[in-house]
Amino acid sequence: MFRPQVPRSILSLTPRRLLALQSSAAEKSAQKTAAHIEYLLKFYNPKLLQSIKITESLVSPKDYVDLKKRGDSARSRLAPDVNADLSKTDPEWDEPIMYPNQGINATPYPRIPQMQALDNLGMQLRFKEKDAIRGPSKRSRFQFFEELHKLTGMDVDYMRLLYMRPIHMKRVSCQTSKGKIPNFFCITVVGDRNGMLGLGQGKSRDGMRTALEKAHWDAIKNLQPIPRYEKRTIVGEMNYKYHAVKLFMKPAPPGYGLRVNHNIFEICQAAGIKDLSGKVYKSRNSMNVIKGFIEALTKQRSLEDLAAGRGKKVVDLRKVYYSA
Amino acid sequence: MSLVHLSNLCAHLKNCSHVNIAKTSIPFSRMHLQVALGLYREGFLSSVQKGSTSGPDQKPVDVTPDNIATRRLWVDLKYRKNTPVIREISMILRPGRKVNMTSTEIRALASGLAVRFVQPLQPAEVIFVRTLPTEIMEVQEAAKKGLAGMALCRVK
Repeated sequence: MFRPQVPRSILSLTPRRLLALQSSAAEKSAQKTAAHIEYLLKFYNPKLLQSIKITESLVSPKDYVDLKKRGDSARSRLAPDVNADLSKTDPEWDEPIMYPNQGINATPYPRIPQMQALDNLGMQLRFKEKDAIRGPSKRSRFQFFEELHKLTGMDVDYMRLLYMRPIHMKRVSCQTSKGKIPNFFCITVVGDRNGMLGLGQGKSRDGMRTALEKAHWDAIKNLQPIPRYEKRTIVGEMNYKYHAVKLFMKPAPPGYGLRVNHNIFEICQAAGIKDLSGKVYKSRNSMNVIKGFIEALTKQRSLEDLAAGRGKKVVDLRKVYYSA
Repeated sequence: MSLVHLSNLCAHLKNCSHVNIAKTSIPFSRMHLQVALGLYREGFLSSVQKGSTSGPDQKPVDVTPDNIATRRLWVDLKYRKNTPVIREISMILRPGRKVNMTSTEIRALASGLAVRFVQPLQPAEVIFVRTLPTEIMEVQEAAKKGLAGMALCRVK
């Protein structure tokens, strides 16, 4: 390695004694360089040595001194030591191990176990939002709609402003050799209150929140248009049987309101049906009522379809009578 | 006018609709002809043709006592978007329960109200009424003319 030569400016400013010292320093450095060249000649041939000298002369002394001043942090990282013991990782100095498929916001640090003991009595440790440990399927609200947009192509703002209602939530359990495994189930209805309706189901072992999110996702995926008469009620009477649920729905005049089963009420709110009357006979199982009503709604035939089938023209008498 | 024949007609048209049959034949009688023409006028059938047991007649054939046994009415069924236009066809009256309606009741039925056990008219639904022993017409027609009659069958 070549040491930089002493610059002339320093020589001009220093007194004689220092000059003498300096000259001895210059001699020393010259000796050192000679010794170094001898050492290098053992490994490199003279031609390679020449190229080494040229490359080193290209590095300015100022840059080299700056590098030395900044210390270890400025040095470039070298390949890891082959003989290093990698079985143990220092939590402070080493980077944590990244396992695959842990989700988008999952941190590599282990979860702090939430154990209920007499001294903590169910109190939970809470961190700030950005430091919080997130589960695998938990996304932020923004990410949720962005991913749905990628999947469906629907406008993010449209999806965000949809009427969403988790109508039915329950906890189901599966009996296994290890005991009862609880599972959380949720049915969510989603609609734009103007003819678009979607029903989604979500299930999760993590908890109701994940199940709700899954159901919301599923519901938006299943958005479909449903026919309505005058955009406020169903088209004709509905006599529909779904499993053991018998639905008898009748359209109602404007201003009547929704005088129906509470599950059907929520679905109508989402779909934009404002007037409806009807009764649910035999089974009133929430899940089946919901599924049955949505099936019946989608199987409705609009007046235009019916008229087209029979080759007739539909005329709005009120419009014709009151038109100019 | 026989209820049995009318029931058979309804059942036959329903069965044919379910298996997407295009052309079917029904017995040739006054009642059948009136119902078939009524359905044609309302747009449930695409054509009504006179014919024999083998098929519709290409040229007009007079009905004589010789060929009366083989005379049939050929009827073309309609389908749209993989579903039949005749979604439901059923009898209103039974031999044990007949409804003779007055002109007011017929007008109420035509307006979409329920009359006794007869459910109200649905969108794109048609009810056939027998106003005279030899006359079968649609309920709207009967209401316009202010006639009384017996409701026979409904087609949706």
